[in-house]
Amino acid sequence: MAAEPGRTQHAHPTGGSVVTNTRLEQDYDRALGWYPTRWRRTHGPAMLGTLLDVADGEGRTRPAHGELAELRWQGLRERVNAVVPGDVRVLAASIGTGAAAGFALVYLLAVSWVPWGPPAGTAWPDLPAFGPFRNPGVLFAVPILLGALAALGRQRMLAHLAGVLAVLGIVVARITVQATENWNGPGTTTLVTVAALIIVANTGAPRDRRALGTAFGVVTAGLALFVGLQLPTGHPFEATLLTDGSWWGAGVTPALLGVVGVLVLVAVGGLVRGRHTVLAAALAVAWMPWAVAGTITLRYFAAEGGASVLMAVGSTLMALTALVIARRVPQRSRRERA
Amino acid sequence: MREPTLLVLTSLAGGRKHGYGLIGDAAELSDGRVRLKVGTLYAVLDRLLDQGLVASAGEEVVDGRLRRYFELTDAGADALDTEVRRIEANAAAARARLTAWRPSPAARSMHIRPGGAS
Repeated sequence: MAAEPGRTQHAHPTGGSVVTNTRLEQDYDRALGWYPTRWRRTHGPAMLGTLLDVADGEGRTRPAHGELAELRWQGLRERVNAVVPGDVRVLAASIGTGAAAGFALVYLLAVSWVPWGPPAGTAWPDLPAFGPFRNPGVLFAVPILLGALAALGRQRMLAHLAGVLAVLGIVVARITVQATENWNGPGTTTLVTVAALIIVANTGAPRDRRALGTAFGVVTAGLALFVGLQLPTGHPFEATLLTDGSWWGAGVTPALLGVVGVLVLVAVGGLVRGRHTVLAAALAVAWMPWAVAGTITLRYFAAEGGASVLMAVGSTLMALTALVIARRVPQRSRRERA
Repeated sequence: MREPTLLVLTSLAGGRKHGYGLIGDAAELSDGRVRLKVGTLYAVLDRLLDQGLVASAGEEVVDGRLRRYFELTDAGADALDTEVRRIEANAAAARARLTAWRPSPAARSMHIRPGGAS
């Protein structure tokens, strides 16, 4: 088909060709290019027609203010949804927010602050104190806890803002550690794990308060128990002060993470069999920060290179498989969440 | 169920519609309060199609523009009915409480300011 003067002919995602005859149409067509290919094939031509109908109805020959930005934003969202479906992201973000808050609370109390211990700077004179704190973990722990409170209060934007502040806290903590050569960290394992927890917590709207509360309870109780037990030392509940290194070496040990990883695998498998595919995928995604911690600690704390690779590959495959299943197999009660 | 989803299902309960028709009907149903953006509308429709609550109901080309029609499915009607019952039950409970409500003396005193009650 030859294009008429003033018109542009171009290939269309549906395989044929369309003629765009106005600047307005071209603007909309370019904005729709932000959507994934599958979406454009399914909805692209009808969306374009609707956009032009709305513009005609409003007597416009240019896009409305913010209209193209909204289309691009929705297109990006659909691209993310094509990888991690929206309902999975909501649940994973809720679980991730609760888990991050649990980690932040126990780390703050057991390593960074220890309000029941001797004043900072006295027990270990070589250790640079950070105000009343023993390391700058407070910089990311407090924003994470505030973010969880914001999520519980359904303040989504505040929760995401707290996530941004927590990332800044990680960066400042890292700079502080390097500047002071502070051997109480937070070390790379802690910072990378916390960063991964923040990423998962911000993959969607953390609006499932039950999932958030459950994850917070389980993670807080589990971490408090094992950080207190310090199983490898053989002296449970004796140590008052905990270094960043012993958090991973004696508390949240590589062996513990390995065992929990197996339990998560069993749980995800059971959920998939029961067709709770969204929860299965969300759990598998929310496990990834812990898989990162397990991979690092198995490699550098336990010197178990093979187990480290198994943790990384196994956890990634589990998450990818669960996501594929969640996209293809409808959740049992999906209709109820329309 | 979020408001855009409720309005789309409500609109389709009145018969099949295309995108532009849905936007206009949603505005009318909400007394002009909700003006669905095209990106939001098709995100809602895509999810409802995926869940089987809405189905495609034909296409036509008008002035060189494609119009795709959508219609409510039986499952969509059930979902809308369930949501309407939930809203009605909540509204009835709220209405009953409001009818019986009288401001407590403490609440009344909070509105009294120097120079008179506000």
